[in-house]
Amino acid sequence: MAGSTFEKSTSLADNPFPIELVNAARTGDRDALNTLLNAYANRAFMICRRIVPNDQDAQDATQEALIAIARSITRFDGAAAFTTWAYRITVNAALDEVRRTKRRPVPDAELEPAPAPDPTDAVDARITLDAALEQLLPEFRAALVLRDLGGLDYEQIATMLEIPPGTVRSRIARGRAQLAAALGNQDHDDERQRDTP
Amino acid sequence: MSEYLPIDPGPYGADTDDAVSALIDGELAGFAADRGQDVATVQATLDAWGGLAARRARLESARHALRTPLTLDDPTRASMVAAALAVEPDAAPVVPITRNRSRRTAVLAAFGTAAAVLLIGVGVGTYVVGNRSSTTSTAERASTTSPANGGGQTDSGVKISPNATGLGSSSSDTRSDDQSASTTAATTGRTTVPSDTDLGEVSDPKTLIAKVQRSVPAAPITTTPGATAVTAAPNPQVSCASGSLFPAGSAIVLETTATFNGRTAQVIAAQLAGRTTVYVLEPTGCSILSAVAF
Repeated sequence: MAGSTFEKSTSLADNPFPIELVNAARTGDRDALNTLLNAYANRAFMICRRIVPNDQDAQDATQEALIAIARSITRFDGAAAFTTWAYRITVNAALDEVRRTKRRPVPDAELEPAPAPDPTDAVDARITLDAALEQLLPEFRAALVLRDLGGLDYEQIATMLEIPPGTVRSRIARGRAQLAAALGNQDHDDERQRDTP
Repeated sequence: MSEYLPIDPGPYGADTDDAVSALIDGELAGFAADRGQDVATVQATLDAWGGLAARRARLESARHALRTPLTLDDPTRASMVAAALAVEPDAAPVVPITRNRSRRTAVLAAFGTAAAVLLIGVGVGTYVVGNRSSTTSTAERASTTSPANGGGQTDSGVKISPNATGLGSSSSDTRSDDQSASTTAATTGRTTVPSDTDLGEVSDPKTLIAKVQRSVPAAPITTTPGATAVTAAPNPQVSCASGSLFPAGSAIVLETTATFNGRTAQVIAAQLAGRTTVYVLEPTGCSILSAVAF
């Protein structure tokens, strides 16, 4: 089960992994790999959780990412930072999970539509981050996550997602705008909103 | 009541969010280049726009929301890492881990695989199968059974019994009703899966899971602290070593044969922290043909 700790905002790029640890894991040191995976697991989950709409599926994606990392660590050539390499694996696992989730039959109970936010009431329109993220296309979520959690630049994200940098910029901008709107952050909306009797 | 007024499009119209977002990320150069402008010009244009601060704050609010930390709890993380470490580097392609709707619950409910011992230990009926010798510990003499069938036999016909020693050791046919001993067991109890229970075709992951679930006792898991894993008896038809497949602390719950895409295969399953990982192995080289977890 995931516990969310609403502490200060943080970027996953803040704490890179020691190269010595990564190298040891690459060369078959299972203890090093154990340490590496334990250190990376929360990052992987955070990335997956922002791309995959619920805890359970995000955990499944995280598990698959960790397995993929463990399996291919010996092929990591060090050309990029470990985190960049691992983020690619993790985001792919999350996007795969989203695709699988879409194919999975949904129980009737889950089909009940969530109450639509009332656009006339900014307070009522404030919805959770999860629900807000669900309103974004997974590809937008991936770009946002790689930028705002992974700390990757647009060029790196473009390479990773195999899209032009301009598309990355657009997805990030539109994703942020939609997310802000869905979260009910009215800083901007207030400019175009006025009370009427 | 309120109404929405037309949004201020900003200096770049529909692309204004792109510009402001790029400004936040220090990526204004790309935006400028795409418009045939230099960065200074774009920056000056944005600076001259009265709505910049509000638009920037709005986009940054989304950024901050997204960066709210999330963490896995320790048992879940440990379970995931253990499952990942069970995969050998550069192993053959592994079938994606199958969805498990109850994994989270299982992980939380189980205090590790040790949880399996108590309930199995206090099982009503006792069947012991196999032809290996039993030894001395109380746990090793503990009775095991599946409550679902009351006779130590799962619905797939698998008999369950304690086993005397660790994987690869021997046990003998015996029957025990030493239930009190089993409840205080602090060493390894074992669940024997007979060697003649071939699973048949298991190339489909769902079929593999279903067959393994039928073959592994489905008893609720509970135990006394300190008790350790339920472990399958060694199967002489299974030649692949399981030790390197699973992390320390895993309990081998099934060793048997099967068919994978028409080829003879070996199946080894182990449990750790409420999660079952199953490997289908090629018999001679023991390379991984498939793997699932649930």
